[in-house]
Amino acid sequence: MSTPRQWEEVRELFQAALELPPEAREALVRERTTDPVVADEVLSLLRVHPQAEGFLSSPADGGSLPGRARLVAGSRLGAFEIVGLIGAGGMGEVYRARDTRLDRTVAVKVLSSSLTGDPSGRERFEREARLVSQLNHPHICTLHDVGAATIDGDGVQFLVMELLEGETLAARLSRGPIPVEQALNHGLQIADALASAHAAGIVHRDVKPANIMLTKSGVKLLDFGLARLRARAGDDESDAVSSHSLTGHGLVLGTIAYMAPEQVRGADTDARTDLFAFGAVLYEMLTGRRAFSAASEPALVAAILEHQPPPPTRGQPLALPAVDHLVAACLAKDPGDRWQHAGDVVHALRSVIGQGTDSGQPQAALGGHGAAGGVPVRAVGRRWLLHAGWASVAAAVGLLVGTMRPTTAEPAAAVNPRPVVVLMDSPLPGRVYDARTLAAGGTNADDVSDALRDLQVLTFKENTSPIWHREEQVRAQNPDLVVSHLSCLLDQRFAIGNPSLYDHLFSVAESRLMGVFGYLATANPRVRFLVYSRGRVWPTPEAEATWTAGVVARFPQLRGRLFTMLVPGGAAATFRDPMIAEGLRTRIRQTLALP
Amino acid sequence: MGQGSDVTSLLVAWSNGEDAAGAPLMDAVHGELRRLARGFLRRERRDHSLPPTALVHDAYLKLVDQRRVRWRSRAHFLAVAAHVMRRLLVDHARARRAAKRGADVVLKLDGLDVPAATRPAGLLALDEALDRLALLDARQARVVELRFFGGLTVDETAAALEVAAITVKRDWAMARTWLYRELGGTVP
Repeated sequence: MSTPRQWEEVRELFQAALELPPEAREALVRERTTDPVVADEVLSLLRVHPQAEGFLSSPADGGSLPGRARLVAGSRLGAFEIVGLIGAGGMGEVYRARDTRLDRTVAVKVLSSSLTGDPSGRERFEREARLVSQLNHPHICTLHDVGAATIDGDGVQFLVMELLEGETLAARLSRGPIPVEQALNHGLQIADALASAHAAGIVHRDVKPANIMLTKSGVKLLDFGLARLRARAGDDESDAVSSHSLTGHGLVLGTIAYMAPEQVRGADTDARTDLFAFGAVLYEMLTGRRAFSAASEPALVAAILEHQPPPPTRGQPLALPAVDHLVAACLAKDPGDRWQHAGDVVHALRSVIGQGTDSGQPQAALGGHGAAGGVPVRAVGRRWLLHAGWASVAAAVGLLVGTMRPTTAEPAAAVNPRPVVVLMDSPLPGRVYDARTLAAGGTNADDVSDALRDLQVLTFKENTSPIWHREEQVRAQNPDLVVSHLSCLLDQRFAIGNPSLYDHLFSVAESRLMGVFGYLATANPRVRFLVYSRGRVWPTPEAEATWTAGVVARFPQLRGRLFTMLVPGGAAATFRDPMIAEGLRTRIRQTLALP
Repeated sequence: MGQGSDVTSLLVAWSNGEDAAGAPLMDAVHGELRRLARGFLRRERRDHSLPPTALVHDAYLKLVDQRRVRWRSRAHFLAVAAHVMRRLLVDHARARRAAKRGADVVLKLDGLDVPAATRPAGLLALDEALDRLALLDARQARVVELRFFGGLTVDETAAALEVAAITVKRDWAMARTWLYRELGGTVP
């Protein structure tokens, strides 16, 4: 085992690595330690971490998601008595509960959105849910009931579902690819479930490994139609999702990674959207690798719109070449070029599985013409195709992505028709020295991103942590403009009674931030920087100019690229104030020469 | 109400730094938790699960006069109760293992959603692993005890340990991972 000193290092590295996207973690560990014992221990823990996610009940942040109802064992939602928390995710929390009328154990999912005071939204929600509850398929998790309740004054909706025991496909995939035959069989069950739902006029719109459970009785597809239910539930769906999208964490990359091109563009989605996601899931089951992955959201979106992943057989040589064709036909960029019907995928999979067992003619059925089920059928406009409006998630991503569309085979980073704005938190030394300021949580980055909502820009938020400042992350966003604030919590936390400490902390924060800027400016000749502060830093416009001159003298690469904004109103100023928000928008429009 | 006010006084004293109040407080909580658990077990059929976290909170409501304590004292109480609950559950699991009366399961941990821990062997293994974790990182082990055995939220845990919530979250994420691996990496 490790010595106490090694444990300290293990702990710090592990926690720092968790703040990065999974693909960047190993590199960080290798770079930050020379001790092989420490590196092995951290990497071993990182490998286990995804599986340990639901271990010992609630997830790491389940207890503190804002506005979320927390139900304790014994409390009731209508006829359902809560037994315990199973897990929590972006959509809400899932509880094990007892249905007191039917005396059976069920899963209750409490959605995190609010339905307060909107009876028509509630009706729509229940109508949609009723449709979904009619799905009766061995590989679809049954939706028993829906309801609404008030918890601590907040209106919540809840779904009552079949309780499943097993692990999610996402958890299974974190351990590597699935053997070919089993992967294809899982695929067959998922495709069959999709075919049945599509025939009933229901599109999933969020097919991904986290929504697929592996149980003793086979695969179960979860949350059918939930994306749509949520979209239909009325209010702020797009807000809810966009705030997720802006967190810059693996969560979102994970969600987008399985989206079809039409979905990330915010265009109409239909059953064929599910088939794209299905293809991405099958790809990952076979190869253990995501069909589309990238270090940043824009790059991932670009990959989905532009790139063809290498054929699955390259990652899984044991699969038949027919599988390549089958998957490629799922992952076609244009819905019209895909399989048109999940039933066709079922036939194709059966045929491949059949070939797998009698391995005489590996290439026959799907590669050639005319073989049964072998070629994707072009049949646009079948009766069951649902041309829904914006799906919830697609709508939000559409906001971000705007008019981005596939052009030619340019590299991902070059496809940014809208300027990219990255919002950074000031690397406050307060956060380094006093973890409690982090616990205080909310910075004004949320308000700033709200203020920028109407601008024709792509906005990303980067949280700066005490131990890892994410320069690389910000650099990978390929920003046109970085917006950051400089000091504000410091005034309240440290300045009282100790001005020299304040000055010291401030200069650490300032140096750190300018160092980051200098680095980004060198790496990306296009990027500009906007720093705002609430007056203490620049009591007068002259002080503002002097400050800028001083910084440019230290970091010449910032000359002409560093802009400041004095937020009027002192420490109490907030970007929720429409005047201040408009002031910021104006500055950004000017800086980026937006219309 | 006699007992209730007594526990309240002990709790207030203990929260104010009077260490001598710790042992009698622990005893009182232990007695009440045992009583609650027995009553629950008599009433419920054996396929019904008993969420220990509910008992911990129940004990608080029963024993402590809430008008006299602050929120932080509540966290302190829950911390004590979490520790007692851990001991109760572990003892119970040992007794069960000794008695080998698997069919007569009376105390289940389903509410905690840890299949591994629903079995005596799983719970005992977790207990031992937690002791090993405590040698490496005492605070992480405490976080697990409070969150898992006491059902405390992140904020309650932070208040009980007098650290920042973010620290609790980080400790929790890491401790869970460490324990998961320590227990064989699979949840049966």
